[in-house]
Amino acid sequence: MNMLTRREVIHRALFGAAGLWLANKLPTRVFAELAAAPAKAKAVIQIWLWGGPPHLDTFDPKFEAGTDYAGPLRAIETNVPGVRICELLPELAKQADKYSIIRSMTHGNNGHETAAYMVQTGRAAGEKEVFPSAGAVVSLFKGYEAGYTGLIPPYIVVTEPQGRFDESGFIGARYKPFATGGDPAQPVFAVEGVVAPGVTVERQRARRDLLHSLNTLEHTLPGNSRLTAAVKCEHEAYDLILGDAGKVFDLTQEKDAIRDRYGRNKFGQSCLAARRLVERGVPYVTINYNGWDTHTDNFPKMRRLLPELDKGLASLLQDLSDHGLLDSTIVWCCGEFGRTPKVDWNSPWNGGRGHHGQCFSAVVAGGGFQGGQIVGTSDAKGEQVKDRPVYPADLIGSMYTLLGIDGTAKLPHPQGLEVHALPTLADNVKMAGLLKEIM
Amino acid sequence: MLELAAVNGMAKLHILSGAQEGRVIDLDVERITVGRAPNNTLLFTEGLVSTYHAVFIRECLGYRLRDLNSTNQTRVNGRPITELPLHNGDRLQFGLVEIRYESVGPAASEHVESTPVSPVTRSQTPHWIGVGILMLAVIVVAIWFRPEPPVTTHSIPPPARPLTPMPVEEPVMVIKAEPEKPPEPVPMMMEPEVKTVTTVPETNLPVAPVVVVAPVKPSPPKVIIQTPVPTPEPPAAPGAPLTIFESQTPLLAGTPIDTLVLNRLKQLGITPANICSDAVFCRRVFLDVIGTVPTAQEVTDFLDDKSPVKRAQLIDKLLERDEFVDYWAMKWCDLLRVKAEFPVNLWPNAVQSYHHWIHTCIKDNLPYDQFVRQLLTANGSNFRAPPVNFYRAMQNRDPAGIAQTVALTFMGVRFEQWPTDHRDGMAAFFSQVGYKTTAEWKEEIVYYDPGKATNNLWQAATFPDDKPVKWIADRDPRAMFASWLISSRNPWFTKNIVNRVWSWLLGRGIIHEPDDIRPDNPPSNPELLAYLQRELFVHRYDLKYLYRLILNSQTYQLSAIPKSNKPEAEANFAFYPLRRMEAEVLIDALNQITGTTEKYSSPIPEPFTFIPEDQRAIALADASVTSSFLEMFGRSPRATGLESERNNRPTAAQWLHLLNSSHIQQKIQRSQNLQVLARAKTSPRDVVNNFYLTILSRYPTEDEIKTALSYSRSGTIAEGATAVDLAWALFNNEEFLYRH
Repeated sequence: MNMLTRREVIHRALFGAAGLWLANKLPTRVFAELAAAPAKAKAVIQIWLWGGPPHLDTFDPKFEAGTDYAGPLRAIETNVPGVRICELLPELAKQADKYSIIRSMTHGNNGHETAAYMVQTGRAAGEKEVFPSAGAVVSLFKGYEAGYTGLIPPYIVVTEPQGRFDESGFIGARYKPFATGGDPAQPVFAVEGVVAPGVTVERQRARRDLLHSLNTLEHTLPGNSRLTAAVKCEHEAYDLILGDAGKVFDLTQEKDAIRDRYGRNKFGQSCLAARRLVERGVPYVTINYNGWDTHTDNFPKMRRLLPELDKGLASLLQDLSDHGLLDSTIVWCCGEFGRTPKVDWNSPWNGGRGHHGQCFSAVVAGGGFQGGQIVGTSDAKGEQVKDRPVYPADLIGSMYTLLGIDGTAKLPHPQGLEVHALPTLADNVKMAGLLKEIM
Repeated sequence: MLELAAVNGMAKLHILSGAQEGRVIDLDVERITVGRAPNNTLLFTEGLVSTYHAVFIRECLGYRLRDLNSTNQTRVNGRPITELPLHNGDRLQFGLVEIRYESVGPAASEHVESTPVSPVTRSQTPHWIGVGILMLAVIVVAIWFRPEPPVTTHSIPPPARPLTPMPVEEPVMVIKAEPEKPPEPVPMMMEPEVKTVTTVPETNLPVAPVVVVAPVKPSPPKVIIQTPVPTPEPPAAPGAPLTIFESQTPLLAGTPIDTLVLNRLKQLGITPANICSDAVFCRRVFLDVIGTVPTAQEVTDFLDDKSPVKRAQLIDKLLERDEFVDYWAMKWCDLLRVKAEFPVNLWPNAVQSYHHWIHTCIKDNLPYDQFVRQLLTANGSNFRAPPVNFYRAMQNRDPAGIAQTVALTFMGVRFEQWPTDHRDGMAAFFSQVGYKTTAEWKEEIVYYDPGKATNNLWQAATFPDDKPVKWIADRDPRAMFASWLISSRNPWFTKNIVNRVWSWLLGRGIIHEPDDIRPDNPPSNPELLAYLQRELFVHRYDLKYLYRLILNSQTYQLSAIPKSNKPEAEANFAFYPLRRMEAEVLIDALNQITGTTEKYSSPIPEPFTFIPEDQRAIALADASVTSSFLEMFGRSPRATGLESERNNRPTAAQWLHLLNSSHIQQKIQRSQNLQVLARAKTSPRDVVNNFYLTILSRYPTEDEIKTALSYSRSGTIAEGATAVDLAWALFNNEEFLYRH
């Protein structure tokens, strides 16, 4: 049943090709219309489950497929009739009306770096160019060039950057995210550079004066353009260190009850920090959440990770809603791929799951995305997309549309090549259409 | 003036064994083929000689010998070769035939590599340095003995006129920049034809003050001193006191570079900056040549040195340091995109072998044209034949993608802006590059695949300068392209490399950006560019010679304090431009001074790679190594090989990190080195002195000492924090962060 017939394959190939051809012709018109519509979303919070979360143990449970697939975990009902998710996500089950689940994400790649690139850029791997991630593109179109004036950089990663993934691609280092470092669950969230533990405000001021009086080269070259650029950076830095802007990272300003609700762990408090950042106008925040590469002992790890994810994400959605921010803030949550539906019970995996890029799930909420919907379906075992494939470019294109970013807008390219925010046919990227059913 | 025509390509072959033993053959044509086939120039019927065994190819200063893939190899002095420039006395073997090669003429008779052309290039023979420097010193003192020595540097190259003072009104050299002529069609496989070496083929420039001093080995080198030509530039405005960054040394047109730069500045009415102070020079040349800050000891040794040629000596010393190799390997790895992972995906083993090969080439000072030829014509495994990784380190491996990378890297041009027929024409040369995997994990063979040949591609093939191509069946077209590329007539090849080296040392290309050479982006000083091209060509693509030539110029040694506000001043090198240190250089400097280390690791492939903690960042092979510091400060992502990939622009995030991160704060707080300095049983002034020498490579001024000492007495700072804050203030000083 799951295998495509030859006829279907041919049909899909032809249809797919036509779709691609249309996709190439359409964007100008489609995006022109959409871009003309006022942007619904102002900000994005990306929750990145680095390593690849198991879709069967989160948002696409397959209890019926038996324990070789579902393992020991069961599904529970949510506050939306018919929508079921993993039993370890009870708080999210109460919020299902706020988000939609895409159960037919696919790109077919099982390598961490390549898949992470594909999901976050919407591009095919192995192209001639390294494209920027969605965060860098938003930073380009919603950041300083677009009138953003905040002292906090427009693209923030809480807490560590992804390392193997060049977020800014060819558009350059100025669109790279600012990584906070530190741990928001500690008594002091020591955001690298903004908060230096052990240095008092008095000492900050005293040594700044010392620095200024010893800056002989700068005194020798007043008005030198290169030094002026450096001095400007220094002023901006001090506005964060000594000014009010840096207080955004001071989570002690939040009530204890709020902090508890998010969970007193790194991920939970990262979600809280993300809400505070969005509240102050930062257009893109990535929470880089490690630990999802569960080749071994998948289920014990899920019992540790999922309650964190559950409390953090559910509280974030509730809190954004309470602050009136959910309508203008997109939240998307996924990893670079899912995990193999069939559990490997043998040693050394002991109930592990491998990489699975054929079919996986993503969660989207807010910013114009409807809640309580399911997009696409996977087959009975969660191995293949059964219905309505969603490629990374479809998801990213939908977010750009909600943000009012024109998909045909040119990206600055160091060699002046004609490249756009979203792929065209010439880029040979698989697409199946924007998520209009939930926009 | 030495007539270089005299040394042009005259050579003899003495046949030492075989049927024609005793025969002497004059070599005076462009190409001489050797083999058993009757249509060879030199016919040998002895055993083990192949049908077409080898070919002699004339070059400007003699002949080059290339093996034609013979069955039993061509040997020079007992070693099998693929291609090699010949030197007087070389013993050549073709199978059973043995021949001695003799070149006629003074310059052609010597090994460039082992017999340097000027005393200062004589680094491999330390004995000669001593003789050379001694003689230099003697002559400098004899000629310029005055109460105040007017010149503290003796610049390289030694000028042309032996001990004859040059009349002041006569320019040191007259160079006419002529537009590049369209190259004449030359049959394929023809190597550069150089009729006389008194002109550079591509520009027909006179070779003026070039001296090729090539003494017979045991005799000491000739040392020739040129009387400096006073520059007509106005002296510093009276009453303008010198800053600590400047020197009283008058600016003189000491080298041809300076004459060309000063002439241009005079035309534009721009007053050049003063010569930089010794302390500034010391720090600058350390950073520019070896990517490393000097230690306090190295600074004081240099400042205390009373030799009038100490700057030239320091340059020579630095060019032989291990860090020189590390630092320039890093630059080349940027250009050649040495990265294990996305997007070029070389894979860690291949990165190590490629980096090692590049490192070795720089260490051996392999002539640049040979370096390029090896990269372009390599075949074999990515693990065992490292230069093949050139063809792997690109995201687009189709012929046009390869051509684009070759054009950018070795011609400094943006291929994608060419018209389609030119692009197709060049891409055809790379249409027979094959790739295949092996049973070994991640091994890949890059090879010449004749099976990929198609007539269409061959018809499309044209050299970028429209020189016609004559295809030779079964010959790797990459080799044809390489021969065209490194030919002296190529309008891009030499220009690209001299312009890049100039921009690496002086912060800006004569053509700017250095990898965007095109007709509508003219050089700011065409004569200077032509002069450097000719120098590198005459010195057989010896890059160390080029570094030395530029570093010894007064132009390089100008201070960073401009004396002209004209917008053209920077593009015409009227002062040394401030530049933020590169990411790797900066972290190495912080580590060296504080005595701390960084943990570098690479998560690719699992299991992770951990790099020893004392590894310096400039010596890292792989741009995939994880380091948020290097990322933040603009390390090259090595994705395209564009010079602009490395980003030294300041950002607020960088300043946040330097001013206030726990990373930097802990380096300073935990630094044993700084604690030793702070607690030394010397006067407080000496402590401040030592901090300045260690961090800023100079002595502090009286004002600075006062400020620093008053900080500790102010009483608001807990004891122990004073030293930390002083070091912190010096690290965050632009004087520390910027090359100046």
